[in-house]
Amino acid sequence: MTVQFDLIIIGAGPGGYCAAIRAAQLGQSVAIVEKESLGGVCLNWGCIPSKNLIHQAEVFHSMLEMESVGVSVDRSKLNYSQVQANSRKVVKTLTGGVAGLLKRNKVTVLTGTAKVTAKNQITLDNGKVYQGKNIMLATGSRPMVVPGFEFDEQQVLSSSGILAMTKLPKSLVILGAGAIGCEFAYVMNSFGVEVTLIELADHILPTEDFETCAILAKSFKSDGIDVRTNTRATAIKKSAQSVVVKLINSQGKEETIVSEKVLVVFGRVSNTENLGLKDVGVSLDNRGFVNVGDYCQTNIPSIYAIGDITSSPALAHVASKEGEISVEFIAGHKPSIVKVSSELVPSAIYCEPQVAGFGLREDQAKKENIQVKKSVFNYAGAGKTIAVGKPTGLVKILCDVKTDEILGAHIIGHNATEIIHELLLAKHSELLPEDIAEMIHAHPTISEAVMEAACGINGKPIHG
Amino acid sequence: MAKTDYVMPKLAMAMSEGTVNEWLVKDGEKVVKGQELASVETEKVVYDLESPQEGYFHIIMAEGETINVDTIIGEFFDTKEELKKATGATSNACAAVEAVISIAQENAQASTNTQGENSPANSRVIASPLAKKIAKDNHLNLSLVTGSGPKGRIVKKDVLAAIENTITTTAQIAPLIAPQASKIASEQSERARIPFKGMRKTIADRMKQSLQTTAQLSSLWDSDISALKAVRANFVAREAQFETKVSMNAFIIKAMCYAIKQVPIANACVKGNEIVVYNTVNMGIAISLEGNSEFDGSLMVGVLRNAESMGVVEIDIAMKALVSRVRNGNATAEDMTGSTITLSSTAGIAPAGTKTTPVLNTPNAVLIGTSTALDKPVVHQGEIAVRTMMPVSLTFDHCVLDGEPAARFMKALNDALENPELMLA
Ligand SMILES: Cc1cc2nc3c(=O)[nH]c(=O)nc-3n(C[C@H](O)[C@H](O)[C@H](O)COP(=O)(O)OP(=O)(O)OC[C@H]3O[C@@H](n4cnc5c(N)ncnc54)[C@H](O)[C@@H]3O)c2cc1C
Repeated sequence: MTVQFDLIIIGAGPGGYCAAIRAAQLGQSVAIVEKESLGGVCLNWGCIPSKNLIHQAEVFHSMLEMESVGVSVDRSKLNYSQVQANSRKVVKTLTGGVAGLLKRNKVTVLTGTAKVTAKNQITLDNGKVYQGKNIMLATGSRPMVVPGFEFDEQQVLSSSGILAMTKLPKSLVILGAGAIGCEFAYVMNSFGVEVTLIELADHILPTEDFETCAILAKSFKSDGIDVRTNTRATAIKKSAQSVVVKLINSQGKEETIVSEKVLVVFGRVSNTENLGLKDVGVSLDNRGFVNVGDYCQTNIPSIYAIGDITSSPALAHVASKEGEISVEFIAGHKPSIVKVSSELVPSAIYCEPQVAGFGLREDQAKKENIQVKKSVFNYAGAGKTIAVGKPTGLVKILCDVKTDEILGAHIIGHNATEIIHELLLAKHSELLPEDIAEMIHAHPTISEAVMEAACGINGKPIHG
Repeated sequence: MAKTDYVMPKLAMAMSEGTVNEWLVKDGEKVVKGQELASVETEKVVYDLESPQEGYFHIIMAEGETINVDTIIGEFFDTKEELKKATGATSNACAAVEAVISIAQENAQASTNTQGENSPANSRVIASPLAKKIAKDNHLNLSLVTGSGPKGRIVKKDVLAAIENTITTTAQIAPLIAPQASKIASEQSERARIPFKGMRKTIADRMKQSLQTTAQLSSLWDSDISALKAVRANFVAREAQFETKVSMNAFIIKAMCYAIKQVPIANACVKGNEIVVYNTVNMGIAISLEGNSEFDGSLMVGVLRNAESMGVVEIDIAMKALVSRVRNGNATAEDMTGSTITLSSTAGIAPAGTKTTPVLNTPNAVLIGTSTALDKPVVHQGEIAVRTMMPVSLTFDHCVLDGEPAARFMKALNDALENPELMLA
């Protein structure tokens, strides 16, 4: 006999588990299938453990500040396996929390690998069959394997491999300077690893604002990271003790670097294989992402897809929001939006200085010939940044020339990932820069830099 | 979005308050979109409010109460449970209703005190700053806009949609005209001072806007309607059978539909950055209105929908019903919006043979003006004969169509007016 649910969700990442809870709150009977661990990549091998490592790296790094007041700190006793163990403890706390939430909301958790076997049916690897009025695919993504750069997780690591690593290498080459590559560059460098960061594009964090990235690259370099842009890794060669990485730059100059380990973070691919999608006729795009329309509905009306398996930005908060929109629709409610609009999605990179932003970038405006008003305010102009010794950074706001509508904003600097939300709320609720400029901000705060940048759109900041 | 507030809508530019004469639904009843909810009276006009959505409707405002626009008069709930839950909590709800009423009364008082019809004290418009800025830059009155944001907040997309729509909306107004003798002793003796407000101001604004935002020009000619007159006489003879005395205007509308079929670009509107060419012929008909006093007569454009699908008799009946609804002040929003082409006639009022060049009813690209026909000698089939000649003018927006299609449209229209059998095509 098969068991019947209103909604069956495959994958318990931030997309799937949030959708499950919301659907249950809306009165649906929900089952969620997970083959590994609740919380998905985000909680287990992504956002959470990486942020914990960053935090520990920051603490470790900031001890150096004590030296200027005469306290010498012996950092030589660093026990990295304990650092790694701490990160796993955090993961455990949070995955336990997710389990509790699912239980409290009466979501049935099924363990196993699921396959869609009909438009309203899934089958687990143990042979059990379940019927769902609707099925939601939330199987996420995994590190992309590029031929010649296959992971062995000993010398050639994926992001999961480096999060599982318990001993620091002496040196590390990171291939790919996207968010994940930059974050690990910062972490490893802070713990004393010799880091080389390789990026094919002309700046690190290729999808972020070039001006903020230039500041990050400068900061990385002054911290001792060897940053190379316009550079392609062509091959790696492993020996017993080390890995040789072959590079070629845009001028055609070839070079090799020898390193103890290599971290390969070229990107991620969606988990759409072996899910039975072809058999039930769910359509995929040419990169393997599931095609979805409004409310994340696939071409099969009873099947929905959210998160990293779709082509929307691969971010945990996008996955969760998509899940919410989708289940509200499934439960017969009217979500306020039909899909996540990418201009309202914040990006956040958590190395120090942090980078955060949303919407239009300056280079993009130039390329697409969009006229903008621009205001930039340097962190150093806000007293707080000097007081806490974090003067590096800037706030940039881009507005429509006629209406002053905020089209994009980009911040680099201490706490940027928290501060960005004032500007994003403004954009989301259609506030204008003058609303921010006129609002009284507490002094001294870094948020004053946001206020000053807003002043700069139609006037002049006081401290600029 | 379990609950949606329903407010007294602003049905006309100058409307500041309204009275629910009668609820046409029962409290808690399930209503569908478009269903008539209530009969509402404004200073001059009685409207039937149509439900903007479906849901379980909860009545808040009592019949006979006069309240400011934008005051909540009812609520929609998605489900019966939500309705029960919300209305079950009676004591609170009642208090809330009372509060609403007393606020409304205060507001009403405030607004009569300030007297300004656009006084912001009337009702607070909730709109995002960006929406406000765009509205201001485009001279759009935000109280005419329905918000789609959280709690009905007006957001950018609502304003953009409204800017597009207001161009097509002729506002209905009850002008408050106060003729008064001049207080200033002056050389000229004054008869009246008429404030530029209400309907007068709307008309003035729309006329100026028409002349300033289009490249309009007119062509004039006479159509020989001798044959058409005879055809019409046949219809008039059958007045009892058709239950209407078919007017010349009904034939003109039919002839315009024929000409639109030949030259579709004449049935077009400018919408934002685009020209929209329609299949449907929504005939805008300029209708003059008598005022309460000597100087407050006015002009409105009623809309005869789907004229292309009607025969002359049907056109005549629908047109007369429309005109009487407009003149009696119970036109619906449908009667007043969405015209695709316009007819303006001064026949019977202007002296025979008058040539007119009416101002375009934007966003329509074409307007046909006709006037009183004149019997005069013309060369007909090689002979000088007395024929009935009707002056016709075509005003068109050169932004939308050029002289060549405009001329073809005139030719087609003239063909149909002179050879009425073509209207059978
Ligand atoms: C190192 C790293 C750092 C990151 N940092 C951030 C960050 O700071 N902020 C941010 O927003 N995003 C971050 N991300 C991205 C974020 O983790 C993903 O966008 C997010 O996890 C996507 O959520 P999801 O629900 O779509 O899928 P996932 O989190 O990938 O979850 C999918 C789940 O489905 C399960 N599954 C797959 N197939 C099956 C099957 N057939 N049957 C049963 N279960 C199945 C998987 O085991 C997995 O648990 C980071 C990613 C990485 C790798």
